[in-house]
Amino acid sequence: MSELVAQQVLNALALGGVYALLGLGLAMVFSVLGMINFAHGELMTFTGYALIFLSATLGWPFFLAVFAAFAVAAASAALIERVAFRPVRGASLTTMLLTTFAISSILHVVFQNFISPRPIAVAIPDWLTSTAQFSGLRIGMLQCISLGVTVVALIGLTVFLRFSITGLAMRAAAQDFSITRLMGIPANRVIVTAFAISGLLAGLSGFLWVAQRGSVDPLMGFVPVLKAFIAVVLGGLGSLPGAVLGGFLLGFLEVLLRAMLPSELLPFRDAISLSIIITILVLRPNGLLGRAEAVR
Amino acid sequence: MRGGLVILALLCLGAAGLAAIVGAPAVANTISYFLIVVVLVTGLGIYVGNTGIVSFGHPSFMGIGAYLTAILVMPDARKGALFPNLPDVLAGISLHPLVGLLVAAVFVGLVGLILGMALSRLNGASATIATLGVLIVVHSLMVGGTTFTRGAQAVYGVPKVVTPFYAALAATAVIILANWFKFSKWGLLARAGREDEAAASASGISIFLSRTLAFSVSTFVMALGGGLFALQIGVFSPSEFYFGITFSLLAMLIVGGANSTTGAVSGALLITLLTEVLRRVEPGFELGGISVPALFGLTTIGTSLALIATLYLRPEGLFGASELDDVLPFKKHRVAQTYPASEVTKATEGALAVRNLTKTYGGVTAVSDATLELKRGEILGLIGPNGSGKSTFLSCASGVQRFDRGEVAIGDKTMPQAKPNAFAHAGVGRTFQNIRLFGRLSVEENVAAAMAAVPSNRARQVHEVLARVNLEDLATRTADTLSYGQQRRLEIARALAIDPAFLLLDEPAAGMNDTETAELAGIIASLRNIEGLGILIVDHDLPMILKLSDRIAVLNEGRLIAVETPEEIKRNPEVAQAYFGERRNTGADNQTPEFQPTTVET
Repeated sequence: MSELVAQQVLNALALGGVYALLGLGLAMVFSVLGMINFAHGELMTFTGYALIFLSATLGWPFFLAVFAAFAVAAASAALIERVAFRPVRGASLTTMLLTTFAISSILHVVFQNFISPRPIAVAIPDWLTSTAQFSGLRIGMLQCISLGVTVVALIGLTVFLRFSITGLAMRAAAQDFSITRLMGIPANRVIVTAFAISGLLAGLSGFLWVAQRGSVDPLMGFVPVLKAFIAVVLGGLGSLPGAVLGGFLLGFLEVLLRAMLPSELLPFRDAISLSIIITILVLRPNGLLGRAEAVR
Repeated sequence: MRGGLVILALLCLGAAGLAAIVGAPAVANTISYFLIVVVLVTGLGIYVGNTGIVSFGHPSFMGIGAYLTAILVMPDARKGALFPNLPDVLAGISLHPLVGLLVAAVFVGLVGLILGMALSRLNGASATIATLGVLIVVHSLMVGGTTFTRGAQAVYGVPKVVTPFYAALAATAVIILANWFKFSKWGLLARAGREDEAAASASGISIFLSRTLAFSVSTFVMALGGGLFALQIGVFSPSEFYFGITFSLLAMLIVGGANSTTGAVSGALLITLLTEVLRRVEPGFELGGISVPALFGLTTIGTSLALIATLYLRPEGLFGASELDDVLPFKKHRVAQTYPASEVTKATEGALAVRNLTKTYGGVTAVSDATLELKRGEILGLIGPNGSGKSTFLSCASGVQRFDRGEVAIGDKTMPQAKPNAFAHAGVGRTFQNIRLFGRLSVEENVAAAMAAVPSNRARQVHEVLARVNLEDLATRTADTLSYGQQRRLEIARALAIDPAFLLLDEPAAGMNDTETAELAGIIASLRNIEGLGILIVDHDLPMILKLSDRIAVLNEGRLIAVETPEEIKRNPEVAQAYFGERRNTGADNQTPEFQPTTVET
């Protein structure tokens, strides 16, 4: 029994980690710009395509291809910001939200027409999908990597935000962007860095997602990002620790429901987990770690 | 009937007429579908436009409406084959399509009322994301709830009874409903809340209630549209009520202008035309020997680009917040101008009493053990150096902010904390240090919203209140377009609109030039003739405070150091010290030019 619990906790941590990484990427952009970025999921998808292109088409070694795909994700995030989002910078929440939604829709169509409407298989090395028996616990290599990547990313980001000047500027921008600019911090640097980091996080989670599924399709990133959004709101919109907390909670909730629900209710898993989260939100409108704003 | 509405109705009926003239079934189907889309976009606009909150979840209600209508209207025999597990109540009935449609819409409207109550507790961005959740939840219920649906498979065989003419009637009815709601009391209150939540709450507006009602009415219309859709097309599946339609409907609404019924209709027209054209070139075509290859999803790209172009160039949409009436030379739409007296029990005696108020921010004590009473009929000035806690004091005393210790009471009634709405209803009106108007509403709507929200036992008229602050000539102007001084005065008018017993003014003269300040001082002095109105003025303009106030309270470092008459204040050495400080500490010197001793002596 305790092995089963331990197994599920491990599963939950691995899944929650992916949501946490996604949520963190979304919260990064939201806290600086107030932008809800729907195109985040397409960065995930694009990472998958980049991985396929580099490893299968160009024949790069898998490791190199993975890291290059992360770089591609970060760069495309910064590029999308420059090309599509800059004209609406500082606009209302609605305007920015719908712009990202439109960009996301365009990217879907682009992926469908110029790459493939069908899933493309990714050659994942065997060792990555191997599992080890460990005193009754079945530990997947991928789970370990998921956890490892999440932990390293969280620590890395914390170190960056705490100890670098740009990181400090970004934390300040998350509190009050206009004041931060008045302090002489260039807006572009903060915003481009936020997008690049957000893209990198999307790349990490995209890789983990692809490795899990073994294929990439045009709509792959859409649904996990929607869920991550809901996790971010649960944690408290604009709060980075809140995004991580929300992501892990969502992971735990999904794994718990998968394990506990009777089979006739399994099709409603998403409906139940999202309803639970919305109910929590209604009881705590600012999220778990969010705050209400002061009024002057 | 207003000109703009007549034109929109004629447009809908004209489209139906066109279908009749052309006669081809394909054209009739396209036109019926367009008119149903008008119903849907207008319905979505009732929520998104009036509350300013984008909803991704509305197609869910369209879907529920479609399923329910289909189940209610379908003949028994076919129903038995399609939905074998349906409960007997639903399995046995087969209603007239119109009845089925309305029953389904009313049911969904009630569901929307309950769900709206939940969503309206969330702020804008969170509510938007919660509606995403609603869309996903309802979609998976449709796919999984095979008692009432056919899972991911299509429902077919719904009687196709919707002709272009019926669709045109429905579209017209919904346009009239949307227009009525927008200018009704609750529509006005929802729009005020959209413009500024804090100011709306302080004006006694229940943001919760207005948003909930807007949500309910708009889900009713969505279900109506969904039912019409089912009865027009005859076949549908859950995938039709998911992100695809969410995106199209939102694009139509935004391109046309979310805050306008006219905009919703024109957006539906534009995007439908665009889609119809693109749909024809999507499979590829040849033009003058050049063959253009097929591009799957061209309609999506077209819609996306139209949306992006709108957001870049004209984020308020083609019509912005204006209606056809505003551009036509007919009579303009105006809100109700008179608000009759109603039976309300308000305390008519007693003061606004703040007792032992303490408020800390982390380790900083902003206000410490302050006790102050604002009496009826007096003007009380509250002064103090920057950071002395004036604004915090006022925020706590008007129910905007929570505090750590002490109490705020009106008469003998202790007020709840952080419930600005309750304060407004108890007779406390206030203005804000940073002007907070309902920017895109007209001057008279700013005042009318507060009047509509808070009943009074005195009859009130919008123009009377505007006349008090010399703004009666600008009644139909948009608040945003007023000058700074006029905006300040409009804020006072809005606070007066609730017929307050206490008026709290947070730095009303801040940023004004001498002429504007003089006019403002004259207006505030004239408010003395409102019987029993107690006024608290927080300001840095010492000459104005000294001239107007009956009593002056002085805050320094969170403590009330004096509450005296203006004459006594001028001579109080502690006050002078607090204000003009010891010149030695020039590093932390925060005095502003108004505090020169020479000015005090005036």
